[in-house]
Amino acid sequence: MVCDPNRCTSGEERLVIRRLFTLSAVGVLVWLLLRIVEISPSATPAESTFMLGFALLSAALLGEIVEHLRLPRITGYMFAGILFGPFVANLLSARVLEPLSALNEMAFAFIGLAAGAELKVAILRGRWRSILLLIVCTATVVMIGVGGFFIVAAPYLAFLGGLPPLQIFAVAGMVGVIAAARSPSSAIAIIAETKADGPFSETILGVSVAMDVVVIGLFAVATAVAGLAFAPEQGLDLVFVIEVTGEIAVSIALGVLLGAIIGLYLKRKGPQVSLVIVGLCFLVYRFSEMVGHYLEETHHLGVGLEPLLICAAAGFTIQNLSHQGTRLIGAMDRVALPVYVVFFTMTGARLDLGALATSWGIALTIAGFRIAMIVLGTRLATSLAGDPKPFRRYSWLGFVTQAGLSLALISQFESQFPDWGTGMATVLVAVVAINQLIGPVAFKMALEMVGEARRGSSPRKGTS
Amino acid sequence: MKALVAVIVLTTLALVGSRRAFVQGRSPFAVQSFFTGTEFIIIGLLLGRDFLNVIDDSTLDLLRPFVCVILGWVGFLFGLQFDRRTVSKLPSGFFAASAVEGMITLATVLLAAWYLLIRNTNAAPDVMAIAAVTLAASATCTGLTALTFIENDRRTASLQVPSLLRFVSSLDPAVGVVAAGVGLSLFAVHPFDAVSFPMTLQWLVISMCLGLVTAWIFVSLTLTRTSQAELTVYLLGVIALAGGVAFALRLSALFVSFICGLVVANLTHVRSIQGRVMTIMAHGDRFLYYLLLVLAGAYWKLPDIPLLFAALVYVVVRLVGKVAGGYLSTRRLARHHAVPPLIGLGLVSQGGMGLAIIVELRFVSDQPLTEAVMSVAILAIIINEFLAPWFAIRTAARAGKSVS
Repeated sequence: MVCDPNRCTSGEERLVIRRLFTLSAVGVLVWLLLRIVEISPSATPAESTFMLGFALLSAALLGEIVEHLRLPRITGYMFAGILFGPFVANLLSARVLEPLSALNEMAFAFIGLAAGAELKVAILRGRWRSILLLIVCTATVVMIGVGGFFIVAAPYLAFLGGLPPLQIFAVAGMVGVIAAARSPSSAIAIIAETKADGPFSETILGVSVAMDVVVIGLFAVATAVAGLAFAPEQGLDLVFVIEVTGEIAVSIALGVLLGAIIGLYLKRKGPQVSLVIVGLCFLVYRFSEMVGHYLEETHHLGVGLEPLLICAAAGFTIQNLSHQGTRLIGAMDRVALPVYVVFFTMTGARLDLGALATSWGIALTIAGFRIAMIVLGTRLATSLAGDPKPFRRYSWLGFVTQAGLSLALISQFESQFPDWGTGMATVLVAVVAINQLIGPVAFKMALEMVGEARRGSSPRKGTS
Repeated sequence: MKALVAVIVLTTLALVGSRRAFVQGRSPFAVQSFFTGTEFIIIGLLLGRDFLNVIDDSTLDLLRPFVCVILGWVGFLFGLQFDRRTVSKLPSGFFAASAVEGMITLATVLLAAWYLLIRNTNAAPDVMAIAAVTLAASATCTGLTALTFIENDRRTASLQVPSLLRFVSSLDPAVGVVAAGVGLSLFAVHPFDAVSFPMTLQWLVISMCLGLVTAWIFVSLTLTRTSQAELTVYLLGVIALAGGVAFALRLSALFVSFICGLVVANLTHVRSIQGRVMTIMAHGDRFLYYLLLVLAGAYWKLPDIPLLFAALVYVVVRLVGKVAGGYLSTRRLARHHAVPPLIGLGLVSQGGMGLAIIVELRFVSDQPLTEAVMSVAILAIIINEFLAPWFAIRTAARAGKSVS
């Protein structure tokens, strides 16, 4: 029925049917409650709580169901978010999601910590050449390729309203940088789900995390250059580039400090390690946000701290500079699944399907071209590094996904160029949405093909 | 900024609490009696709106979904303990004694609270009914903290009375949770009068059905082989769903999730995973308990003189209920066991469930009377916790003398 005919057993089919039945029952219960019973407007926190429960259950169920279709669970979680989100069933509306934003912030930082903790120097040491080449080659090829494509396509994009060539070049530079961004959160979730362990997954994760840092820096340079193109009388704003460099350096330094603190807590065998980590992740996010607001209000600076970078640096410090890496991963594993379910369901619910609907043609073209450039970049890098054949063939599949950082950069884009930025953002958000949906599937396929996905991650047999 | 500081403070306090042990040894008895957890309520009060304002109204609003989950967690965990296989092994006399004692206390406090509210307030009957039921339901609950003192006392540790007290303290909160659930179902959602009685009764049925349906969802999810991580997701999902739906409908989250836990515990095929669920819940249990204590303190407004008096009256009426309930419920047991007539004095501690019922009131009713009731009840809980060890040790010691 819904399973892969070559692999599916009757037990699995029964399990899928049972899961679909339970999912329907949960959906009907919530639908009835929302439609028949009048919930007062003041009940929003309560409504958010039961919607959180509903989201957890429905996403976990859909995750299990799609796993039987050989798809990654996070695709199921995102699908649940899309299905019950504002653009389809509207159960997880913006009003409901707002009180739960703290959970999403915590999850974002938590995933950063997990990504850092997965980076083991002992493994990366032998792969530094590959990692460096992958970063340089894919970033360069994707930026030049997608930027060039944008220059060619610009005359056909009405919202650009006939910008002069110099400004088109500047915008193309920013678009190219955004196209180079990856999603460490999706990568770590897929690695955790498939229990993948080995040089391929380590390389992909290492490149994804490092690429975030590179992209932040490059975006600062691209923004400064764009500023020169749009307002030449103000000159090149190199201060912004220095500020962003400072932001990255301070974030990494804070991450090392945080890593030392968590390492000490783990060493002293402090209580409730999982809860403490979750709490700290929330604090890191809120603190970063607060510093950003403070710098903007008092010094008119458009920089802040990068929570993902802080947490990734903290995880990396604990894993590689202390003996507590295993304990950290063990403690995080206890709460990781609920965190991933919440994060990716909310990501799905927040996917701008409206943007996708209005600009799917151009978005699909850009997404396709971006993937072609990634293939080219990874082929070049892996050939230069002399990587084994499976690496050369499948590395590109690990770099398709885009998520939080891309969206954050797009929003900056929008705020800096209000005249045409909204139209541009709509197209780019649609591109991110496409990449977010196909990326996890592609990465899981790659892990299976190179043989790093563990057997335990394959679909379980249902009990009859 | 304030929310950030509040979260740091709350997390730190809950962590400290989850690691602490009751003060024992050389400290004076009065000091030991105070440091039984009640100090965290006082700290919450100091951090709250009336004093330092670290945990202000906006922070409390931010934490509402989280408190909702904590109450659902408390109810589910409590219901999970009523596994029929375990319960059937317990002496039936003890079981009946717990239920009778709980109901007598409930009736005593309910009648007194209703009478005093009618005489002294002009609130709407529904609001008074909710207040009276909540006060009575909370009064029914007995905490276990005082028993620690008996078990640490050389004179009383080996006696049979502590086990009876432990038994009653573990079971009588069920009467309170059910009373709160029934009370909120009848009075909180729909105006309560003779004409609309069937309408109000439907909410009681809905409360129970919600518990059953969420339990069914959990059971159906765990029919297949489930990893510990998946079980955690299902558990959190079901608790958030049960607690959130209950509050959205202004029903008792404690009652709905209690029913859910009770049903889950008693479905045969789930028994194998019951231990795993308990393990997951045990990880966060103490942390959440201390968090609840601090939050209760932050919700608490210091009572003025009339309310202070009302709190004392509440303590006395509850004590009368406990003593009467303890006496009447143990008469049959007294034929075969050394049960002191004033065993009710050993049941003064009101405990976490009593507090949870009071905190829950804040979520279903936002009337001025609600705040007053919370003030009275939380102060009474502090007084009861302070007095409980002294009463408990004397009750157990008296039983010891009668044995010898």
